Amino acid sequence: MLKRRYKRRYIGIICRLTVADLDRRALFKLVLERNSELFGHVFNEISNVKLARQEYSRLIIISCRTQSLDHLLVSLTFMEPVLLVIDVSGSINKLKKRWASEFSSLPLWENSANS
Amino acid sequence: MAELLNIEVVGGPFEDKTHDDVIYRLKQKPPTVTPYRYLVVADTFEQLSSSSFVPHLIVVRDFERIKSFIKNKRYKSQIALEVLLSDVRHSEGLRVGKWFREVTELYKFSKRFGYQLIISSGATSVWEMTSAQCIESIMRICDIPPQIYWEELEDWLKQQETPRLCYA
Repeated sequence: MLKRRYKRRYIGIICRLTVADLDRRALFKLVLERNSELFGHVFNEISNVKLARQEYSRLIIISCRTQSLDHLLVSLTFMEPVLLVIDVSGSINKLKKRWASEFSSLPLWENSANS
Repeated sequence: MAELLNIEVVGGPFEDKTHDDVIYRLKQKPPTVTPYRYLVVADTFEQLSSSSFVPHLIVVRDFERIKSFIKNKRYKSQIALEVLLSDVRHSEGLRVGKWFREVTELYKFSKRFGYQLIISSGATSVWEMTSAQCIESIMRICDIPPQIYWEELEDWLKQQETPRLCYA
């Protein structure tokens, strides 16, 4: 029997400060609910969306099967509260590296309190 | 920020300070040559009803009405039809689903009549911006080939370039 793991994509998202008090697990639940609402429960289950362990305070990483990536990105775009998809990668380590080098120093956090 | 989201050029309302990589959205054509890039945008039917007014870009909210309006009007120039994500971003699933169908049909319509479709975030702040990857995902669901879309959009933007004032 052929045993091959399907490929996954890792999506880095950030959420504005005003909703930062919302627990990231609660946020993840909202993502799943929106994905189900837009594309159906069966598709949501098949997408196998997972929440990665948190290492950076602002960055939330979720992953899904590669074939479901487009649909999940659409669900994230049509989310309330607003989420900003900042990066997509085939490897969680690359995503974290890019976050550390390019995104984490962005002056977003100061501005967002007023916007 | 736009650069990090893989967006090369952004559109925005005109302010006192101008930037090179921003295309300004104006309600009227300026009477004189400007030092900045701009597009004349129509987002209400009242604006469009004026016979002499020819916009570069029409914001589409009522899909059926705009299609019949454009069929009757027959613009000679290649105008763009813009849909905004911000209009449906927080709507319920049924409304979002309908929007996807309407955008799919609008793309076919714009291809048939030679207009340019633009999918825009409609963002008014950094937090509402949408990355190029997310916009491409929306395109694929609407049967719009992203590669062709970006190429056509680039060509269309080049065609809309007006002579600009340069300071020596």
